Parts: sequence; C-alpha cells; structure tokens
Amino acid sequence: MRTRLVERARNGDDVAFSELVDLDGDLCYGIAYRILRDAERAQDAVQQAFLLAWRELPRLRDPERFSPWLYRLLVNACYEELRRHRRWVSHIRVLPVDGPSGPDDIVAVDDRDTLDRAFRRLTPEHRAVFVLHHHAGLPLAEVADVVGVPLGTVKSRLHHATRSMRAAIVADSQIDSTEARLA
Amino acid sequence: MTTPRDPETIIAAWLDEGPTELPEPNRRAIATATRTITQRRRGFDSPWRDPFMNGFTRIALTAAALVVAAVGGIYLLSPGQPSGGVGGPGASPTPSPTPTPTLRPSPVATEAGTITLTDEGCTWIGNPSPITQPVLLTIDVVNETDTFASFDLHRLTAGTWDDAVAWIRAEHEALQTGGENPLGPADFAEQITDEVDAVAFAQSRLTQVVQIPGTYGIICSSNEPPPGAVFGIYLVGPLVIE
Repeated sequence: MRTRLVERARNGDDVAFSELVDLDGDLCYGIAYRILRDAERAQDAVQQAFLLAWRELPRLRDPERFSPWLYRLLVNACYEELRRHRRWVSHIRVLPVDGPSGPDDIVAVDDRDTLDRAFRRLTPEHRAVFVLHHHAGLPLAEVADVVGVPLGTVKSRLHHATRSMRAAIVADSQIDSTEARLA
Repeated sequence: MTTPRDPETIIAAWLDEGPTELPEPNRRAIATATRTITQRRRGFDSPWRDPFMNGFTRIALTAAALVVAAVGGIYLLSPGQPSGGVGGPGASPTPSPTPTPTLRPSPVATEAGTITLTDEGCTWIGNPSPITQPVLLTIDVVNETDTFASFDLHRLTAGTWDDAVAWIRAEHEALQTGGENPLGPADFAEQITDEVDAVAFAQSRLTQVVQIPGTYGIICSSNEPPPGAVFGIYLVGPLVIE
C-alpha cells in the first residue's frame, strides 16, 4: 500500500502524498522532537523534510526505499535546525522543581534534568543515531543507511552516546547516595 | 536508603516522553504547500535550462556567470597583467598604462564537461585531451546524493596520477570501514579552488582560470555540511594543462 502511494505521489498525486504524511508524520515528528528536544523546531524540521521529499520524489528510484530516504531528509533537516540555532543557545540550566515526583513517574525530575543536559552535550550526529536506534527502533544497519555513514561509525556513535547518557545517570545516583549517607 | 536504579530503564522512559503526534496545523501546512510546489523532473538537464532550478542553484549560477564575465573582462582589458585567478591580487579592471612588448594570451574559455556525484561514486564526462593554458575552465558539478557535496580542483604537486587515485581510494575505503578523515589532507596536491559546494540534489559550477601547466583532478566528496563528517571521497580526471 505504501509503495503504491509513493508511486502515485511520485507522479504528482498530492492526495497520495498527504496519505504518506498521515502514515509517517507522527513517527517523523517523534524522531525530530527527540533529536532537537524542542517541539516548534521539530515541527519545522518535519515540514522541511516532507516538502523536500515532495519536490524530490520523482528522483527516488526505488519506491520501496521511501522510508529510509525520508528519514535521511528528516535527519538532515534536524541537523540544519541545530546548526541554525546553535549560536543562540545559551547554557541554561534547567532547575529541578521542588517536591517528590508521583509514584508512577519512572523518570524523576532530577533524572530528566540530568538526561536533558547530557543529551544536549551530544553532537547532532550522535543524537540522531541514538534516537533512530533507541526510539524509532531501527536496526543499526538501517540507521547507517539513513544517516549515510558506515555501520562501524554508527556503532561507535551509539556507543559514545549511550555511554554518555548512562554516565550522567550513574554520576547523579552516586551523588544522591552520598548525600543520603551524609544526611 | 536508596533503591538501586537501572540507567537503561530510566533512559528508555525518558526517551519515550514527549509528543508523539504531528499537530494538525503542520499536516495542513504540508498539504497546502505541496499543492504549490512543483516537483522536480527526473534526471538532470543543463542547469541554466532547468525551469525547476531551486533558488540556491539559480543564485550560484548567476554568481558563476558574473564571475566568468568579470574574469573575461579583466583579461580582455589587461592582457599584460599576471593574475592569481578569480579575484586574485594581480587582476585589475583598468588597462595597463605601459604596454608590454609581449602580450600574454587571454585565457580561452573551455567547458570541461560535467562531474556527477552519486551514492555509488563520482564520474566525469568530458574531453580528456590536454588543454593549453591559460584557460578559463568551467565544469558543471551535479550532486545527485541527498547529502551535501563538495568539489575542489587540485593540481598534483608530487607523484603520479595513479598514486593520487590510489591514495583517494584508500581514504574512501577507510571512511567506509568506520574512520572519519582517516588519512588526513592530501600532501601530494595543491588545492586550486575554494570548495564549490552543492546541497542535496543541486547543481553548481566550478570556474577557475588555470595558468600553471600540470595534471589536475577534482576531488568530490559527499559530506555533512562543513565542517561535518565526510561520507565518501573520490578523485576524477585527469585534466592535463599544457
């Protein structure tokens, strides 16, 4: 069904393309939001990617490859967003909100703050690999296809990103337990 | 007492947080825009005849045309002036007040073909016959990949053409197996042009006055926008300038 839609859209059928937006828009937005950590910029990136996809679709040789191709356009749009806004980003520390988190919250406010800061320190390339694999669930070979780098580079980027995120949480836990002992 | 916490669980939960649905206004905006944006045609035509040329390409080609016109004018007006190339310090738009007894020939504008970068490699379609200097080289460059691309004219300063080809191939293979700029910059060649860049699916033009005889090649690379990582690197040529 998707392949048929791609073929129709490739021939200029904008209704078919809208259906593709319906099918892939949510996942694309989820990926873009998690790479950029900003809803408005994620919306911009998704729009940018879909409009570029529409314009360039006649050149997509294999309709079966629409999804990885679209993800690549999306990731490139995210890189562009991050670079465009980098100069304006100041080092704002998100202050934790006082009070205990709810019993159902797996991610405590402190953890969220810690992870947000650790993630923002990653390069756009590391963020993309991390999100495509851990959030979108793409196998590493597909991630390599999407971001256009060799599999070895993807593994190395994922290892670095995961290690950085894990280290941030572990360091935070150690501070917590030290404080608990001292209390 | 604190409970041991599993970082993986916390990271996974953190990653799951956040919006999951593309807002309706964005869907509508995309649908509206697709009705007004013309799709590209399949394949590439001569860029100056492409009615669907994007703004970037149009600006790049206009700039290239202006450079060609300016360089041509400079050489026509000051045939005795040595020049370092486009915008070089030796170029002057005013005629030399002291005519020199021997006039340096004006560079002959030469279309040196088209270089096309794809996901599979880089190809040059052009006439491989030696070109007599001084020459105003123009080469169309086409980026058929969906990443950023750069094209640079280099002149060999050491070794043979085959050495250069082997070095670039080794660099490319190293990139494919996980390295990032593994071999570093080439030490056998001098970069002649500043990078001529083309965004994804775009075309541009490399324009350069060449006055030094030698063997030249164009290094094409697909990469993230500078100074990002390089995905693939290729060498096409040789262009022999006599």
